[in-house]
Amino acid sequence: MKLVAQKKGKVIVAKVEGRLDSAVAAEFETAIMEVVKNGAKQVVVDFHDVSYIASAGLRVLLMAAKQLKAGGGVIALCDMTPSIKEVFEVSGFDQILPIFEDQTSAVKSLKGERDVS
Amino acid sequence: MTLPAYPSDIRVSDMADRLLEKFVLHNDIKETTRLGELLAAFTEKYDVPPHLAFRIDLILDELVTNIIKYGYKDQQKNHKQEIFVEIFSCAPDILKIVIIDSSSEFNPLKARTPDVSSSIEERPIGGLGIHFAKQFTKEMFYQRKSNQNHLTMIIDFNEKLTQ
Repeated sequence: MKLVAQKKGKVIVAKVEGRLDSAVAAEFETAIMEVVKNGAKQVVVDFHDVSYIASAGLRVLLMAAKQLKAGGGVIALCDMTPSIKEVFEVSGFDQILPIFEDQTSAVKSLKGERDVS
Repeated sequence: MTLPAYPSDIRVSDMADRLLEKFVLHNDIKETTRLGELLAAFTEKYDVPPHLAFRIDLILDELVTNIIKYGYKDQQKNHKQEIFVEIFSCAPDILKIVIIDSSSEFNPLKARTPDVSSSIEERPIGGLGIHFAKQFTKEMFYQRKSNQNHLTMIIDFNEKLTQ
């Protein structure tokens, strides 16, 4: 698992790489919570290089989304393979976390959010 | 494994099986990573369609993780702490996967289904593994035999992505 955070205007893009399974969930949690705790209000998680996600990975995303929401922030996800998207759909997570086709549209959607900072 | 389609009205669970693979896993969360590697080799060898390979990986990862985290959590010493994953071909285009563990009796089919429509604040995270298994298998059944849990799942190669 690898997470690289990049600032695009007011939006932080977290590009994740590898398998998000139960074995790396703690590592993923530390990495994404660091982004959130550093005061990011608008976060895009880019799934382009994510090959797999299990419920442990979903739990981490839920936690990050809750934390962001509590501080008036938002999260958006993008660029998933059809199988990863299926995991979000079957778990109903696609109803609580917005998913976009690509990074550009995810960033654009968050830029359209009211500036909360 | 490109074989002709089988009539859908025949119960798969009643047919003769041929063992394709058997994995022995230990009571250690790191074993889930090794299981992923074993499954990748298996699905490549038998030409399992990628979306089904993903589902099999997901279901087994979730269920084996549950056994290690909860089933074997309070395991007594001298007790067998292994998990067996057996994969059978039981009809053309049909796989049967059995997970066997020696933790205390637990029938996942009786577990409460998580509410997958609740809001972000109320969203529970437990039970999703079993939910995935129920969604992604054609049949699923549980037996308690010789102090072991046997969970059997039937995967149909003709199942398409849900989207």
